[in-house]
Amino acid sequence: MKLIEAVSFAVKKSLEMGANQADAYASKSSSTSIQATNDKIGGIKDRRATSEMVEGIGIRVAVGKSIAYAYTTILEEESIIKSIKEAIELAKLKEPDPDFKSLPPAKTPTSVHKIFDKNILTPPIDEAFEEIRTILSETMEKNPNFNTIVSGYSFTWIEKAIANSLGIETSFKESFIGTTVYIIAEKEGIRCIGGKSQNRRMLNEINIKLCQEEAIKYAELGLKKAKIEGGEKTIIFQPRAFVSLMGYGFIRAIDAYNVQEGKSYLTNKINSQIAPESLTLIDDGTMDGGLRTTPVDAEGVPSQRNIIIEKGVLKGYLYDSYTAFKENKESTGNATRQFRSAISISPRNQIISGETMKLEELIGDVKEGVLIRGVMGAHSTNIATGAFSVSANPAYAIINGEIVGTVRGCMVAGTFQELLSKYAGQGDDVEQISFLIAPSIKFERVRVSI
Amino acid sequence: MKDLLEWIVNIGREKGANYVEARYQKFFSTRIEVRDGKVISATPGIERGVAIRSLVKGGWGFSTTNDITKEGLLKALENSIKIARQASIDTEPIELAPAPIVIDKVEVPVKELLEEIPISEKIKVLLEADKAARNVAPNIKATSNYRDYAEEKIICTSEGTSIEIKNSWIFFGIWAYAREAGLIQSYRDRFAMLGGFEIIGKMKISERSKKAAEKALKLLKAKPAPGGKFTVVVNGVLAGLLAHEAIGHASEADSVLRGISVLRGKIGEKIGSEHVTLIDDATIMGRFGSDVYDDEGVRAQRKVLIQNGILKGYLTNRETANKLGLPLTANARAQDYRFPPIVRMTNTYFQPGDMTFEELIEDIKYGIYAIGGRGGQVSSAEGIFQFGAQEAYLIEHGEITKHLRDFSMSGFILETLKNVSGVAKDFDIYPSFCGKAGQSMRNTCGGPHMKIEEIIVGGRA
Repeated sequence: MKLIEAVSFAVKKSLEMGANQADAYASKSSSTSIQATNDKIGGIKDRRATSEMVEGIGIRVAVGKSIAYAYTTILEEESIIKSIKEAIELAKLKEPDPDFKSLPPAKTPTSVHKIFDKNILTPPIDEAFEEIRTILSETMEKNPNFNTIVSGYSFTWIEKAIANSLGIETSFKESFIGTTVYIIAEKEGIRCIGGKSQNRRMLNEINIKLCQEEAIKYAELGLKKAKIEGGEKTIIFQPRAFVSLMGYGFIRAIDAYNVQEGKSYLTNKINSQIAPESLTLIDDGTMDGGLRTTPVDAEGVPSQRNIIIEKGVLKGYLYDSYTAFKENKESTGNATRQFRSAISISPRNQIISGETMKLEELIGDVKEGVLIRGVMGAHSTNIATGAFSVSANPAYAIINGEIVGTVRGCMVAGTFQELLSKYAGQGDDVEQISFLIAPSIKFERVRVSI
Repeated sequence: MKDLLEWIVNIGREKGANYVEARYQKFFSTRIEVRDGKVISATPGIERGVAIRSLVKGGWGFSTTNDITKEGLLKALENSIKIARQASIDTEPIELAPAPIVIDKVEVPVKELLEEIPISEKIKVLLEADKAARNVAPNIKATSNYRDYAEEKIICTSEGTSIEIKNSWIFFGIWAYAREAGLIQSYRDRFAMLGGFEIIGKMKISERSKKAAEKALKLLKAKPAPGGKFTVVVNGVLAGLLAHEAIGHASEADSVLRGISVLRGKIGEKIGSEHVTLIDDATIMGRFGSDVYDDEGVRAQRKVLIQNGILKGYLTNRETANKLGLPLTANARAQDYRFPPIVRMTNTYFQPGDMTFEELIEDIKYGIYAIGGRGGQVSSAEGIFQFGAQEAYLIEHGEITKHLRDFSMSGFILETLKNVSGVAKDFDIYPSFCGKAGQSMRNTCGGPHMKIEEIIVGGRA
């Protein structure tokens, strides 16, 4: 069965079988990834490729005020009916949820651009392997201390179909192309990694050369040891470090489920100043080519542009239809779902804006500080207090405006709200990583243990 | 189904593959989440699919499909052979270490089939857990999770191996949150075992939930941990995290071969103090990381990775065992039919020693006792790890004193192993799902109380 047929069949059947509302979400994805390694001892080896094709349908039924889900990967009438039956039985078992009002009404999907590249329907594996090969051998030549270089490509396309009993029936396609280069270097007992990955919607926006250059730059920097004392320091987070801290320390705090349950430190903080005036944050599901751009969210609600922080003031949370209707609001279009799982909330493209300066100047102003390119342990952030304690790795010492080398064993601790209040500017090196679209960001007087 | 798999691997041979492996899987699974007395989600699901892996001219190709008709399998096979050919160009050919040809049928003993238990029964278990936690105090909130999984798996290879496996497991987890004046503290516990629904009784779910709530409540009074370098005593669960994250991953032969492990080239060397003995054992009956066969159809084993500080070996699959000339340890595991088998741990733990806990801490003037894991992360290539603990205590002059929260620690794998200065005779394990290459794999890790010198603690005080 085609996806759109499957979802519309599932919704129709659900109503026939006793649901008073229902929706269905089906997806079919095809993903091919390749990777190869260049090892100083073994040469280019370990070329490998995997390809995956998975489809399935998730069904949500409402019986009275009780909601339940079921899913199957077998897109045939018989198994869809079996899943509906399970979901309905389950809904009858559950206590009614007085907060459930309705599934979302049908609205016109947002018109979005550059989210699907048909060139990857047949992934260019031969060319990609060839490019990787060139990158691997070129890079090994650059520095005798480079031990291992790994590079890869991935090509994914996904088709999604969503229907509900209030008239939503829509489908769309999206694509993701990723590439990565990373280098393991070793010199006098120091081992370090320099790496860079890129993910885009369109194949022609991928630049493996750029990944290579950055990987080389940071692998070489990583071999230089630098010393810096612990204490209150200026910190510059590069986007790939900040995305992880922000995901666990902020995004979960603006998730309406956590807010409504009072689990978030940002509960009851709407219209409060939570960051300096120079900081603005937008959640945008509509921008061209955004990794989180789609015409509708996983419930079929049109994508939109939501202001989260405006001039330092918290303006809104992220909602799906359930949490929004509970507060008599409209969904912000942040519902996400896989066919195997229930609806949850996830950010769209989170754009950090504010006055920027050249990255060199941002670093140039720092007397003594740390440039952080990755963090470990952000997942243990306590969302109720915002407290985090992460190991900064890779991290580089900045002394008198210059990156002088790598700092090892550096930990940064504090709360996310403290961190926001210490915001002190941003660079011009904007990157798109997962949900985040941001440049390097500077914070002052952050507690560091080394 | 078995006939169909045997048919497809033979076609693969005819089409020029040196080796073909087909893995069929059908699984039933349930996920339930209960929050503060409310069933947040309960999702039963059924999936089936086939993975086909081909070795052509020394290159691997892997393809997977939900379409288990003859046409569907043929399409997946052709795709896998096509990409294997592309992968084989200009690269050192892959060969497989020999493995015995096995024809077998194995089953995890199950008394009560998960598929036959009504979902209402499973929900009831969680509601009881939730109640047990929230009954502790009015300011407790709780989230509890139940997952079960019953699978039928068939592995057929072009070498003639054909294994039919029936497996079943249950996982339970609880997070308790205590709140007071703007502060929220949490504590979690989890338990998992192989078996049918009958193991619920052994899991002591309500008892665990109550204890988690009491701990969360107690943490409200704890003080933020200090930052700096300390002698740290970790409990068995945290030692397990160290065994798994810091050393286990670095001993996976694929990471070693890729040059991304600090343990590369170190077999036979002393990499830790004499207190350090590390085991990976897939054969322990019912334990969450156990299997009879791995996903290449090789019989599971018990392996000593580190013996009294000396690195003895790595975890291997057929490809890496051959490349390194090391014994095949049957650690090839795949999350499900969507993924190729890769080198994974099973049940990984430090061997207990002979000290008591009191002996371990008696000569510590100023240190920290850290309890329970709150997730960790590791960079095997650089040999750096980071872990959070659920709670901690200050150790002053050999005595446990102040209660601490927000504790996390970081260190270098090799230095840390050398800095293990004492091991207790107790033992604890912890089940988890470990992520690697996008695959989530069930396993356990554990160990005794261990004393480690010079650990960097990232506190705020």
